[in-house]
Amino acid sequence: MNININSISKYINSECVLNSVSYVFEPGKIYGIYGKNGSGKTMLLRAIAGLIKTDSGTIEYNGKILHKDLDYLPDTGIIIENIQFWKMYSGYENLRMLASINQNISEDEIRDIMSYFGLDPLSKKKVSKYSLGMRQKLSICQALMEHPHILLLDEPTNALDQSSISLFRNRILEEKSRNTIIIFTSHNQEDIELLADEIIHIEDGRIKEHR
Amino acid sequence: MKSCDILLQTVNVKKCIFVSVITFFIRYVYVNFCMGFSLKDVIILNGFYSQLFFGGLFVDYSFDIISLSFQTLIYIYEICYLTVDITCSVNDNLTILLPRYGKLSRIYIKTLIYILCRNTILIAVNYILYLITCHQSVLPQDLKIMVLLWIELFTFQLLSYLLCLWKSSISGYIISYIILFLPIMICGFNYSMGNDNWTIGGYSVFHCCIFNWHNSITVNYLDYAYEYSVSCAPNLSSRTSCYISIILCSFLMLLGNIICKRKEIL
Repeated sequence: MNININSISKYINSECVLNSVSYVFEPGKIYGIYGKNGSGKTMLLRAIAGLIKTDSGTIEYNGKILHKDLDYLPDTGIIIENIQFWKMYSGYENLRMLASINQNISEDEIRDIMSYFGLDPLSKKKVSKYSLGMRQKLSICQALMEHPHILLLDEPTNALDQSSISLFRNRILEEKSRNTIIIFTSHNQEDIELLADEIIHIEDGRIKEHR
Repeated sequence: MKSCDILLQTVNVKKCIFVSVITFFIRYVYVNFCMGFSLKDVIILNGFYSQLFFGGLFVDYSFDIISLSFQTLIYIYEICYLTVDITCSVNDNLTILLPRYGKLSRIYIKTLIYILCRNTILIAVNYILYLITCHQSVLPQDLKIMVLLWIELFTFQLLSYLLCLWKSSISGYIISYIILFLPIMICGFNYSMGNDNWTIGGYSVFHCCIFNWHNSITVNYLDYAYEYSVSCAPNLSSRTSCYISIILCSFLMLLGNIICKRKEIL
């Protein structure tokens, strides 16, 4: 089940943030997107997720057109910008609340993924007291925990220490082996080189090159 | 995973009870110690009276606009805070909720359910505190009042809810205060005490259905040397008031639906 992007464009206040972007994302592959700040990386992820409507072009998934046959991309794990969570609850309680929506994983699985990333599932510490790195780990946990078919990750290694980055990379490769479509953006060239099967360079809302 | 646990956790029962108790306490202290009246004298004579009690508006004892404003502000704070709090949490987490729910409307329906749960807790806590402090109960009448209050709160909340959809952060919070508070501040009460008649301000349509659930709102106190008479004008029948409220709710829901469809999460 591919994601087909057909010549999408998006204007915000008459400024073109995505300019006729076309690409095909295939399952079992990791796509690394890089580019300067404001080049359109995050906007592309938002468009793929269905969080914004494009002004022209279409995004197709499984033969269905986004915003026509589908409201949002289903079965997708997302990290886009800062996720707020429910600050008055612990990390585990937050994940439990999110997992309760579709109820396709057990509480043990939630505990496992938290422990994997070094978060204590038994801790009563509220998310409001979490450090930036801990919150980023929690964001990664919520995106990965249900083993979604698509992963859209915007700078997922931000604020992570080196050992957590290694854990993240290993986990991403595991997800890839499950035939997941993984699209991530990063300013870290090492992440891109190590993980990505296809590298996409975006500049001024256009795909400048891909290899 | 027990869905009941999750529901209670999302609604945040502890927070609801805490806010209800705190605001009730402020109203209680204000009336008993600042205004010098005893809540034990309060008896539910009709719906309007207890409605005023829940709203903290003791028109029968003291009907000055400052007390009215203060008590109303506390009450509106209670309603707005609990509504806006839950709506803002949802808006802040839309990017992770949307792929799970698949449809924005499903999220908003869930949120409305959470809001209704909070209303129920709010009313239940207020009623229990009322029984504790006033020791008066007329159960059939009380139940009727609680249902009316529940619908009334929902009308209030739909408005603040829509404002939060429009402005997802603190601005929605502030605007909902202004929008909800101002109509009550500028709306009017025609009331008479003995042979004197006073009229304050005018009436808004919104206000009519909020405060005029009952036809001919008159409270008589035979204990006093003179008769208090409080009435809301224009006098709508309770049925008409219900219709207005239902139409208003439907309109607000329709508006919400349009906003949801047009909203882009940027």
